[in-house]
Amino acid sequence: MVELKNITKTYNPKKANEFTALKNVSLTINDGEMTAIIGRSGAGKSTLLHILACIDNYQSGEYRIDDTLVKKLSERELARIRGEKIGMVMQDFALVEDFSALENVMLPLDFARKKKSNRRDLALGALSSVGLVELAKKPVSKLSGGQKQRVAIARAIVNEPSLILADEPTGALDTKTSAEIMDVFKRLNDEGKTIVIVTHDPNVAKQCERVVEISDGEIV
Amino acid sequence: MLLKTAFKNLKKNPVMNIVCLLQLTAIFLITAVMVSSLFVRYRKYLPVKNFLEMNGVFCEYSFFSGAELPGTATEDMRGSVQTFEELRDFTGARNVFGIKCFYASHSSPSGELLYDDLPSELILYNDTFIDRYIPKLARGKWLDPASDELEAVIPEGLYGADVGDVIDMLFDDEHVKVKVVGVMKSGEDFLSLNSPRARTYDYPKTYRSLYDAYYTDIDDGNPPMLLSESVLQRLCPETRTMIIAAVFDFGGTDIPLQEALKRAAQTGGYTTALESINAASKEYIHTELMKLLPIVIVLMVLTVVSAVSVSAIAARRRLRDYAKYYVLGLRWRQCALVNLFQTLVTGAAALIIAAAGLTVVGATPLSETFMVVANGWTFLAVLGVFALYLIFSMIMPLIMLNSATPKELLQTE
Repeated sequence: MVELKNITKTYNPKKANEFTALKNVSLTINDGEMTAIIGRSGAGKSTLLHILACIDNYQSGEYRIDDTLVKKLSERELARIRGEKIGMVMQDFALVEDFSALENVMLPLDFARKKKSNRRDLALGALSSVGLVELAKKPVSKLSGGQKQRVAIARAIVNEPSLILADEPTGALDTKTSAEIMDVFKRLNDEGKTIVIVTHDPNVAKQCERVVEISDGEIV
Repeated sequence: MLLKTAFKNLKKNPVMNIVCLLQLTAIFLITAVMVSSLFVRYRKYLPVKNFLEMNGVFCEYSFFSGAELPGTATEDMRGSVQTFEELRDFTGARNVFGIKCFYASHSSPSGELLYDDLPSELILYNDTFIDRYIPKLARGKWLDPASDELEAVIPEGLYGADVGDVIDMLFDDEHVKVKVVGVMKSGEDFLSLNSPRARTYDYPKTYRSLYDAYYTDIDDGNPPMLLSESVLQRLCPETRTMIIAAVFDFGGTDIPLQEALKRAAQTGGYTTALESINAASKEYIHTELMKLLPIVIVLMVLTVVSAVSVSAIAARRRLRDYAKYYVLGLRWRQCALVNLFQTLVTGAAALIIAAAGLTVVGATPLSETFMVVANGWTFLAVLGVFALYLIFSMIMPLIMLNSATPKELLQTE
């Protein structure tokens, strides 16, 4: 379970361009839920997601993952959470362009503290679950947008994280491809994965069982 | 895992990596040439440094000199003083060592004079010199004072001989076989202690006067052959050789310098205190280095800036990838290590290429054109720049990563 309590995030604190992106945001996401976070541009959606992903910090409040207070964790423990407990899918895919699909999917396995001997098989399995095993050896630079996003999803799930975070996963895709990607997320959710999707697209939000709206840094 | 990631990253963008590699190689080569240019000023001083730091007198003899100092004996002692031991006993010096010369002609195996070939000037080194001084050879080995054969080091192509050959010579009327053990490197100066060339421009006298040019154009004059004085004396005791230069070591005696100069002058030569040659030598080197220093400093600064900028540019390019690795579970310090490993591999490759290039250039006549001396100091300087490059490769990404969040890095184009 993921729990946020009174989270406040301010950029450039005590400077002339100080800006509070999140104001006392509280949110609980239960295991197995598929939640959409919607809002206009600049509402604080991505900031919230990045805090959930442990790649951004916050000034006040509490963030717990499975009852563990994140702020008290060391850099090493945070890295482990990012690599093993959370899978992140970005709008622009965030793939290493000159690596193949398989090499990209294997990255979280390579970075994990406990190395698994069958990393290649696991990566191929993840690619298979998103229907891309035949493109495993192709450089991602040569893949379409939809294929890239599938690779990003495969990378996000290969370590079997308990939480999958997606930041505008269909933002750069056409309608048909967006629908295919959402099908993948729904299938993962059916398998028990907790999924949080940040989107400004109401069609994407409609497909989630829960919708959280954020406006001017606050949950509506 | 980090090393594996670094290697994988290196496979990306090979063109850019090759450009970085070439830039680094150029930086290392410039460093080597800079250090070499400094060392070249020192190179010829080092073999004679020990002599020049002694408490003693340097004495040069010519065919026509008599005693030089007023009030001293005017008799030319060279008629009665033939050996370095006799010079030592005569002057009361602790030790005397030096160089003799002689002229010999090429003969047939049966001892017939070969008029078409120029006579050779034999430069005979005292054993102490042979132990302390080894000139640069193109092939073969240096003289061995314990040899049972009369060995010689010759210029390239002298009398058509090479290493291992035996040259028949006439020493006055005596037929002598001389075995070639080494060939001098063309154009390399050798220690003659009596350079007529130096007298015309080297004042006050410095270490440069002690060297003579080893011309391989043997038609220019009497090509010098280098031999051991003690072996010649042992094998050809009747041969009367001429002392051309001697170093009198008065260290450990209580003979003051002026007295030492007087005694050495009585043997019939031009005398100079070693300390004044040493002082003038150091002054000369200092002046030469000072001329070079501004250029070296500027080049060093440019080299360091280049090394740092290569490191910074490479780190900057990889920042977005490091942000991705961060999201996937690496820490920033681990990302910096990945960067370090990548730069280590690139730097090591550049180092190997530069070292290979320096070695090849050092072994060819190009080393004179490019003033390259491939020795320990040069490699140490290059390693120093390499270490600097590695340190900055470690620090740069950390500085850059500290000034931007992963989110910002991922959002940049």
